[in-house]
Amino acid sequence: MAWSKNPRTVTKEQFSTGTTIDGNRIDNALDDVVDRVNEVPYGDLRKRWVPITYVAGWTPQSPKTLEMDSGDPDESDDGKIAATHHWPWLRVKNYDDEVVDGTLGAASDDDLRFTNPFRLKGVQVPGIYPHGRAQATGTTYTSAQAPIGAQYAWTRSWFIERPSILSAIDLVLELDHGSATAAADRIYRNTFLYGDGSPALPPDGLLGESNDMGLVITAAVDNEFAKEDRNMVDVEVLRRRFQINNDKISTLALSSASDASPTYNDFVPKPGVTAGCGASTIQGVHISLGRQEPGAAGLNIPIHQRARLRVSVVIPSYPASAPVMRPNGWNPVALRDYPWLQQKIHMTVTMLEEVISG
Amino acid sequence: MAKITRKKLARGTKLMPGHVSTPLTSAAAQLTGIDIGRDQMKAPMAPFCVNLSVPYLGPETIPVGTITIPFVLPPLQDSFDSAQGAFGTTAPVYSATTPQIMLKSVSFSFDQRAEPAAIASQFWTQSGSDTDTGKFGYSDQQGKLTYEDVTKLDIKISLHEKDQAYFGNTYPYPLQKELWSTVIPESAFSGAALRANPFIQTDIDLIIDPYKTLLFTVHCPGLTDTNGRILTLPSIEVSMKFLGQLMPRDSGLGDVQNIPKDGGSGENKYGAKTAPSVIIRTPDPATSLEADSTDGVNYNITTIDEQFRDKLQGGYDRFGDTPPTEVIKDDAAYDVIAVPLYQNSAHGGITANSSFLATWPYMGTRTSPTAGRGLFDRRIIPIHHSYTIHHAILAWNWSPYRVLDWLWNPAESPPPPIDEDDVPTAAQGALWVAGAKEIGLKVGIGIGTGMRADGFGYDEVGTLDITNPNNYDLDAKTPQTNPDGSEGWPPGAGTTWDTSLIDRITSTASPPFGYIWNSGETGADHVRRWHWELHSIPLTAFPDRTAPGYYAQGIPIFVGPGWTTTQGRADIGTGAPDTGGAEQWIEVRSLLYPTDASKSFHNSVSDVTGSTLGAEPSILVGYGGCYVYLICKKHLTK
Repeated sequence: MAWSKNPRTVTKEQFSTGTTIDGNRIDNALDDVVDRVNEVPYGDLRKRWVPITYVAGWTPQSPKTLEMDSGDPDESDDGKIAATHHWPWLRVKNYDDEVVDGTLGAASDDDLRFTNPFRLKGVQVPGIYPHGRAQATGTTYTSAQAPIGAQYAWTRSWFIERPSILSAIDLVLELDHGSATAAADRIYRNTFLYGDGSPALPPDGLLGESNDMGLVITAAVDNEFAKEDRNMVDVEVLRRRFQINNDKISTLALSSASDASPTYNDFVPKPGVTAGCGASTIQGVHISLGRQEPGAAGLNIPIHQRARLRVSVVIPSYPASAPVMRPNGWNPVALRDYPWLQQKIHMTVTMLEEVISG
Repeated sequence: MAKITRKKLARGTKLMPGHVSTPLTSAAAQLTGIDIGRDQMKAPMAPFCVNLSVPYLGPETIPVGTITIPFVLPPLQDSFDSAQGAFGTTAPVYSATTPQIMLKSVSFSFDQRAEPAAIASQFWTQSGSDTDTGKFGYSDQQGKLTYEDVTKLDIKISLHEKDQAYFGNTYPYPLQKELWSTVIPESAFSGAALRANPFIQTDIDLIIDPYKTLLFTVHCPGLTDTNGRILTLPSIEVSMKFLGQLMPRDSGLGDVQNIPKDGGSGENKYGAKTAPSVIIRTPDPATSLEADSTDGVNYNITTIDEQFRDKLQGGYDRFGDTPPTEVIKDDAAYDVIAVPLYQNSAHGGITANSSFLATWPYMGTRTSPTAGRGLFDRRIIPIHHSYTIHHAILAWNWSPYRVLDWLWNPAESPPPPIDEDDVPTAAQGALWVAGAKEIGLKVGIGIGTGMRADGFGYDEVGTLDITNPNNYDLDAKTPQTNPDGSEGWPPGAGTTWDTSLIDRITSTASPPFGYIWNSGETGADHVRRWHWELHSIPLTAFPDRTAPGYYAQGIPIFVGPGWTTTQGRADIGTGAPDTGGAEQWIEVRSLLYPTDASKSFHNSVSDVTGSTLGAEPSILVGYGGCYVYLICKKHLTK
């Protein structure tokens, strides 16, 4: 029998010529229609999600403030370093060297077991060896010992009470324009390049001054049955081993100030134009997970109810000794360890959540 | 109350056409009238969050381990019924259309490095060897784990409200009512197998007054320690979830700036909806009721059923486009985008002495601050959905703090952290609102296009341009101490700083101080100021229209990514938008600058004392930075 349209959603009653009919069935069907219209279930809405935006970001301390070359904190009482905190960046690896001196766990033979020696999954990048590096020559063998290089993570976490969709993660690492008129206006200069090879080495197998791949963005949900075990988290999205420079905000040759050619209309305060406003037009990279594309629905990652969602950005600090990988984009001064000061940070996480009864 | 009704078919009733067609026609009218409203939805509310991101909270706050952040949730323009521009002289107007907002839950978290431990501050001074700790806020223990100190992390979080100065609240602008609070005990963070980080409290169900100022507080006194075991809470994330009622979206040429001209529903729609064709045919009199004919029972019910089978349409897709036909009347909801500015500075806030000022970029060097340079910051907020911005609110921060965790003490006991040859002792604090007339502030909100694109452009959504934060009049020597000797701070007259003022908030018992002239105009008196100010950032003006709000501003501005169909947009202000209907991000900029371009903040004159800002504990930006709140209408999407 050929298919013909019949009511299937608002009522299960079917009426056809030649079949029985009675008032009760019509009454039921009309009841269903009226009830449906008077109390529309949320599942009847084609679009029933609304966006929720989590914005963060800051302009870090100017690395130009750090006038010392030695980078030795013991010497900070020479009146030159005014402050050098690195919040909210914290080492990815938890081990005895990352416990405050003189407290429980700082000595390797202390009776303390780290819950999560590595608090993020899958974030290892070229050039950094969290377990150290075994090496052999014709006559010697050196086993892996202390980590070589370090990774620092900024982790944002939320308790997601209701079922949600992780729609997008946008990270902008903003730099100053390379042709800013005054050197004082070129503060943030991360090149996102490895060392040039003389003497700063790139990671094994890569050419000097090749594009850096040391940035990682990941989102993970804690395991329901082992909430504090980071080995057990569900990694929802992970972007690693990508060439950061391929995500430039714009490939156009934008001017450093919006009134210089090529000009574009702007809004106040205008960087480089408004009196006193020393920054430049936005430069840098925009890593967009879930970006706008026709037909795409963003990351579209469902997050279950009562989930503990953690979004992390991981940056590298390459080793200053054996193998010497500084200077490079993240560590432009060989003896300094300030990868968090080389760019401005902007991060937006977009979630979708359903309409609710109240 | 049911929106459509019908007569029940009691047993024995003679079946008439109206028994069937009348309720179906009523149902069809709901659809063709685009009248499916929130009162007939099982889920008539939409969540929105005030999300506050704080890179760190250290011990150098006043009081120790305390940060406060105000915000407001004013009615959107279409339901903002209070008088405009009547600072301090009017009462808020509540009407039947004033939206209901309810606080549902609060999520709070910070980074513990996934261990049952606390995190050592940059001011940690007790360690195995004292030589590894510098004096200037750079302990090499910072960021490390301390399992022994997690027991000090009892954290109180709370939400307060107060009347707004705009509606008559007066000096000293105190908090009035604690709406909600809880103490998260250290045991929530010290368990090896389970920790409540992130912490959440659900089902708070608190009705919020939209015309009051709300203030969130995090208080963790255990961050400091007399033995130098000093701690920090890194990467604090607060997410307050509210519920608001669904409401109609904005539409109309001349009613919404930058709204798409065309859409899936047709040309020249400007957001207006097109109804589907849903026709219920009533049998002619004296004809039999049938099932399958075009006026039959089955056919008519199927006509309704089709609409529900295809799902009810409304809202915008990710490209600001509308469906061809829509039936949902209430397809938008309240939203807040909280945008932080000036956060995570070297010392938590920014003061005027060049040694501290130069830690902010573009300000010159510690020994040679650049004249005329201002403190510039911006946030770039990529957008993936559409909004209409109704209000923009600036929360400016004057909260005092202890620079380098030193208890400001001109008697030098304990001694200041930096040799006074480098920085005067008096300047090694952050206690006074910078006392110069020559200070200006520009805050701009824009929309931008050009990420991975072959074009680049901005358009302005709103701007604030004010000067003279102390309302100083150097000729009249005002403001002055009140003649009766009481402290006072009259509203600004003849200055621009207060031209869009909404509120002033004293959020703890330790506010900053400000200098005013004494009543004899012969000297300086210091008076208690307030921690925060809220200013309205007027949206870009639209010709011949003054939109509702605290002060005169433009009508709502649509912001959303576009594609071919939705690239044509209504004007912003007096011209076509320069983003060409393809906005990809919202950008918020702020510039606090010395209006005398021949001076830096360091050597700007402190008008009452006659000294310079750099020689005093002058706050330019308070601890924790500032916020801009974009009060928007967001839309149902998928």
